[in-house]
Amino acid sequence: MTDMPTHTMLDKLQIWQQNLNKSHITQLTLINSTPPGEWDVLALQEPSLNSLGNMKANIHWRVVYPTAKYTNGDKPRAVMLISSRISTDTWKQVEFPSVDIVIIQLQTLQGLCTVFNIYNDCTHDDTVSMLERFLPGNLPSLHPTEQDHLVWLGDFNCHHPLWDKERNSHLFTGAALEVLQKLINILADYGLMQILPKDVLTLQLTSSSNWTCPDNIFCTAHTCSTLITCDTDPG
Amino acid sequence: MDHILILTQFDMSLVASADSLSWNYCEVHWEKFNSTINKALANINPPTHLDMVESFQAAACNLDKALCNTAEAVVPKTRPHPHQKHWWTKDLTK
Repeated sequence: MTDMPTHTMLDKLQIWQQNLNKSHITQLTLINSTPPGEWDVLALQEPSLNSLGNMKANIHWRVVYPTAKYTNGDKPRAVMLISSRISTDTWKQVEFPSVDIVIIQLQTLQGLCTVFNIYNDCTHDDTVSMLERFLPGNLPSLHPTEQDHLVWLGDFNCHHPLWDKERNSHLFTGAALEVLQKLINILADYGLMQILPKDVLTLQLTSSSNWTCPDNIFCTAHTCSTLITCDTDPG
Repeated sequence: MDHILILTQFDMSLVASADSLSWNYCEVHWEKFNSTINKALANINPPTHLDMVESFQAAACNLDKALCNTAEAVVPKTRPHPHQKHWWTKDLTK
């Protein structure tokens, strides 16, 4: 008799993704200036962590760490913040054996939406290999029906003519493309389409001042019909 | 070396958190409450000896409805403060 819940619907799924480059200032600015009423999911890579491997947040966000953080103690390089205005009955975390990937599943009126927040280390392709092994056995729960949605986003730390500018062709070395082909094959196998327009650059390198595109976002083909916007915000 | 953020919006509907309201008994006008509940109780059977399970359940249901309808009509509601903390006392620890 004391509680009278009244459910309302949020009409959009709004995702903010950013590599914070372990910057404490960038992270605090993000947490304190991002209106939780406007954004539903913050998908962060390389967050600033304390000695316990935790990040700071406020009451407007529920922090989701990689499940592997609790089993092997490594510091996570991918973290997701879910707005507390979203009912916790409608989303859950999916276990994944790496501190570089967080997976959440959101129940929407348009179907189940599974969002992968990925940090891909530029020195090895272990994360991609783990995804390659993980997906076949878990696809029935990740993508139960054809109407359900898969979204992959994050810092993939790789360069390819599919998303980078042609002037960055010096980065498209044979060895780099050969390693990257494993990721491209997985994207193709699971019908994932790039939704960030080609030539949209997300990172300026300190050494050369050259702009590249290591960050990206992909989704299943039919999910593109629900896309309202996908673009960078230089701030 | 800061990455530029990527903003994406999908036309997908999510269920918002339950907007829980609770009764604010501090703000009740008790004279109005008493007169309202007396009228509600006058409309149900007076207290009597109950020797059947069914009649007991019916009487309990009528009393519950009278209380709920009175509270809905007279007791104001309040939204919990977002910074409210769980409370505890030493007596409860015993």
